[in-house]
Amino acid sequence: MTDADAPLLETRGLSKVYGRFTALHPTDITVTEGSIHGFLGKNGAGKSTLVKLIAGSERPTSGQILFRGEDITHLPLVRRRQLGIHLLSQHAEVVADLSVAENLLLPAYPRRGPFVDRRAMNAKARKLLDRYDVPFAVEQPAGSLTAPDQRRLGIVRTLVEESALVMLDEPTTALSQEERSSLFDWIRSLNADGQTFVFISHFNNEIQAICDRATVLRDGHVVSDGADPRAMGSAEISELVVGSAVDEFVRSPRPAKEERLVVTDLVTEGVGPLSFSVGAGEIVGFVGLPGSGAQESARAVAGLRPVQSGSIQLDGRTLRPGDVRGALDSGMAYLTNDRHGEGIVGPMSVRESLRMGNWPSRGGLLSEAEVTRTYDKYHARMHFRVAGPDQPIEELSGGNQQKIILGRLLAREPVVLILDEPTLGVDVSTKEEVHRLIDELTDSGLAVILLAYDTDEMVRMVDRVVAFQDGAVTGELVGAEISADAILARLHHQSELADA
Amino acid sequence: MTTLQTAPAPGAETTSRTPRARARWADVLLDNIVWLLLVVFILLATALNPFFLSIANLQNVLVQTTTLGFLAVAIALAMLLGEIDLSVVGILGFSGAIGATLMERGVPGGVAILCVLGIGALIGLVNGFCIAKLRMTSLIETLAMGLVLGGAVLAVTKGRTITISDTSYTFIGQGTVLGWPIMPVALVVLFVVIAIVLYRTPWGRKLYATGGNRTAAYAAGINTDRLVIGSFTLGGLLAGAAGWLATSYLSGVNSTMGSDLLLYAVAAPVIGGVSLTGGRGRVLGMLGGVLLLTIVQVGLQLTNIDAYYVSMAGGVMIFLAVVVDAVRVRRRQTRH
Repeated sequence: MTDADAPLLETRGLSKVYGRFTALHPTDITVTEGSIHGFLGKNGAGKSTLVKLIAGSERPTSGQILFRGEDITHLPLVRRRQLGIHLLSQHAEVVADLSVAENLLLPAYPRRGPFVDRRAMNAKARKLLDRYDVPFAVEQPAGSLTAPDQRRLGIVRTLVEESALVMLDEPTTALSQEERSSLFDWIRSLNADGQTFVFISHFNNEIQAICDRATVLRDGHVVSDGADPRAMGSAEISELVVGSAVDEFVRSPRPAKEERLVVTDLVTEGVGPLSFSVGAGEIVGFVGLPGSGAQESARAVAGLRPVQSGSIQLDGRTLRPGDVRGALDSGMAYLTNDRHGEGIVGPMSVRESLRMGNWPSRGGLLSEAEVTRTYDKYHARMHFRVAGPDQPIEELSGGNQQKIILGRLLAREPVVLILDEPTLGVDVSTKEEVHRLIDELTDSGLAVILLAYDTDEMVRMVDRVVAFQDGAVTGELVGAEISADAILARLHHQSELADA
Repeated sequence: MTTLQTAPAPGAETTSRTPRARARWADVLLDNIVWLLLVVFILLATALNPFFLSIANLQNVLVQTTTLGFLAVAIALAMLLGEIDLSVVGILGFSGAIGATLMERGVPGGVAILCVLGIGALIGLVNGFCIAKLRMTSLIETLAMGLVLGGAVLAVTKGRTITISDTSYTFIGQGTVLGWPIMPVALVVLFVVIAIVLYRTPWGRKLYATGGNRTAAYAAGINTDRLVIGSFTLGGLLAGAAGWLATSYLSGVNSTMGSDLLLYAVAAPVIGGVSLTGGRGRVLGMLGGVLLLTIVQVGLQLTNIDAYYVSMAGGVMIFLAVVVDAVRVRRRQTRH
């Protein structure tokens, strides 16, 4: 069966459809042995779906997966692991309370009689870590390692199992620039010893820095496969990623009017003190890694995170901290980045979802007419595709769910709208619709805070950027200063700020 | 199978719609399986003993269903939140015992009834507070509360059977109109009121939202803690009402009253389609579940089958309920 000339991995017409949403159109890609192969694309482009299909954690709708020429399409995840196909998700898969050695050798611990032989286990773990040039102590709990070290531990674990193909899903998430380059150096040295990697990223510069081959995905289609990204220009790659066919909305920046949201010396669970303000009709982009204060302060303002001190003022009135209800009633709306966890109630109908938490009543009974009016209004305005008003929201595609949640917030007629990754997992056309809608809303004085990892989105939408680092506001970009590179530099502390 | 093969399959559109339509059918069947089983058991019980379909037995079934119905709805309220309330039978016994003691001391019937309901609601309030504010696990908290109350019944009655004869208290369980017992009226009122509360009031919708996704409900501005407390309080009130119904039907109270009801009261909502994980379940389904479990019990009692097998059959029904629930959850997960 095994063909010596066959590539390590090949997909033929591989596709995945979720309900009415096609996450991956029929795809043919090839991964060659000994390469570091990049999968590049924006959020929702189909990268994660593709690797999940290859790893076996999702079943394809159609198509084949060949590994060393052998059809593995119908093998379960466990069998694929035994063949040496490993996927490391964005969140390092370590058991925080177990020691490094226990994590590394799980589940086959060396034993003495019925008991685990700790000394032998630690010695074996030490030898393995040394082999891969990883310095940290084996007795410490894995949870005490830094984020990149946890990721290294995860990678070493797969290497111990004689992995033929290690797939890393956005391994640089939440790493600083130095951490990132040291992780890259290490991956390169492992690759020099013959290890094949698939490296998933939505940053062009990362793919160019580390990969020798790349597959670019856009809206579930492969738009380029097998080219050497180092031989391509940055602009060329960007065009592949973004696509030129899409009519991308670009907001024309507007001057801010009077201040709407004023936050002064806000301290929230280890982050702060932070001060910033957002004006009426302004869209302000918040840039910062997790823990920097960008998302933390946004959630605190919305009442979803405890506040220790400082003040939040909306149109001159002080908000009671930690009070979601009060914040909503005062005109603060927060669009969550965790649609399933914090956004939708699955079985609830679309109609009711639009008024969730804000159901109108008349004489103690729900006013169905009013709920229906809201539905009609937002159905006309936001063009969501549903089978009918009573369809459960869980049956909709991500983009339509997002429109419903956004509609619910707008139905409260907010004065400040916080958008936390508003287009995550949302298809391209919906994305543009959402952008246009938000742009329109600022004309009537809505103040908007935008958090987005997609720097393109940020550049196109914001009037001003506020940069956060280590729980403090560290800078601002306005007008012509706003560019993808400048935002990335702020995000990864590359600027002079890091030297200070 | 032959019908599936001969079904016309022209065009890509129908091929994508047919499995979807079939899936909808299966969903409808799973959601209404309780009514199918109900028909099957009525036919079966009638075949084994024609007396089953008599007016007298029908009245008996409705009376038996009433107390179970109140307990089942009380538990269903907790289930809709993704919680459980195992203290309902304890509340039934304890509030009933207090009612009987008050009547024994010569308290007017109306006052005693209000005390019975009030005590139920108060215990429910304590449960709700412990679960919402102190973040106790409802399974263990209500189990403990149920055990405490079970002991308290013994302490109050000192093991005696207290009888009540005052019709101002027992009218609901003893009264008849034109030969029909009036107790089932309480059942009808219960289900009408609970349907209005759950479907037509903002509070009821908040209950479903909170049970479906508590984090999302909270982020949407719903005071989820207050809702949990309110729901357990209402459940306690209903369990207290069950205590009044049971004591007036039996004209008194004994220490083991209602002890065989708990598992049926848990099973009835589940077999009627209320999800154990919260946020899903219909009022009509709860009614179907309660009727089904009563009919199985009464039907088996009429067939001279050994009492052991009656309780086995109850176990089988509960098992079936959980199987159906599991199938439903699996279908939902694989669809997405």
